[in-house]
Amino acid sequence: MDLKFNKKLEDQPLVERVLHGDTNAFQVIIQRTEGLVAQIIFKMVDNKEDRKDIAQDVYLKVFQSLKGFRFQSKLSTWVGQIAYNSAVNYLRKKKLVLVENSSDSEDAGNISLESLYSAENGSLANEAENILSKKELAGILKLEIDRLSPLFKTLVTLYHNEDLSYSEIAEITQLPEGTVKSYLFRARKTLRNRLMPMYKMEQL
Amino acid sequence: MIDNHLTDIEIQEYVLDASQCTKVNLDHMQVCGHCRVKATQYKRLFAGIEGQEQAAFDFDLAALVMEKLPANKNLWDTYFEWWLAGFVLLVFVIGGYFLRTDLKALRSSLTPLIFLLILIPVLALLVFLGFDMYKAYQKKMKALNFY
Ligand SMILES: [Zn+2]
Repeated sequence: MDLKFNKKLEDQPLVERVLHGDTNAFQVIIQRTEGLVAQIIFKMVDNKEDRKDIAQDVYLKVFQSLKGFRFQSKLSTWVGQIAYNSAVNYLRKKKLVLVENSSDSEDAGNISLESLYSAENGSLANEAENILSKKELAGILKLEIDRLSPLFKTLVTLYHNEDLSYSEIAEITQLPEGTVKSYLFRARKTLRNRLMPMYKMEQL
Repeated sequence: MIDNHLTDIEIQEYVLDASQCTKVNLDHMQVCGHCRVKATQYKRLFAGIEGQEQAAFDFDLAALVMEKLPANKNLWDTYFEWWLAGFVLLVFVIGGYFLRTDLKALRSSLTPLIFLLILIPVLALLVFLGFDMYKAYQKKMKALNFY
């Protein structure tokens, strides 16, 4: 299939082609949306094999429900919503928590970060002059993002990595826009507080 | 010493989109070192998040999904049921046309009661079979819907 043509193809004709039995058009839908689906599933589901199963189920579900898609949102947003719901169902089945209580406070974060340091790299916490490399900082940030609750991680990723607006994220997660905003503010504040010692270590 | 520092939310908003900030907050940011340090930390944090490696599946998701989908349908497959129904109807019409004299003779040789006794069970059986087929079809479609 001509790739340039695929990119230009709007949601509606693409969906109609699938509904008329052209399953190849469905492949284009997968290719267009799997980045977003990956972001959601990676943040919500830790187990590698489960991720694979869920990702496949998401698209089989998309295929089955495509008839019911009414183009009220972007196709990718709708697919993201199905991915999010599938991941939430998975967490529920595994009895895992979507959002932890606010006991996950910023101060608690600082303490554990320090312990992480002394455990991983002996004297690092005491050496203020020891400037961290970009790579090390990125690694620490990754660890800190992973420590957030599945929902917070997902919100941060959708906003900062997928460049989605608050309203699009609200559609995917089916949360009120105000809640999305306030969760995001909290998640960012938590991250900043946990990483503050690192950022202070380097000249600002 | 400056009081009334911006809240974390206000500083985040300033970093994300300064054009949405109030004039008071913008003026404060110009003069307050404390809030500027915080803003710089947020800036670094956001840049750090955006620089994180993107999650990606290490398998060919499209290929896996496509394997599980029904094969590509063409127009013939899509309308197969209709073609079949049309063909059966045509057979009945043509058959009825050629056998019209025999059917007429049959109809007149039977009393109306016997004729109805044959016609009603036949129609009932057809309706029952049709309904049963439809139900089996619905069940199969449902089995494909998980979650
Ligand atoms: Zn201030």
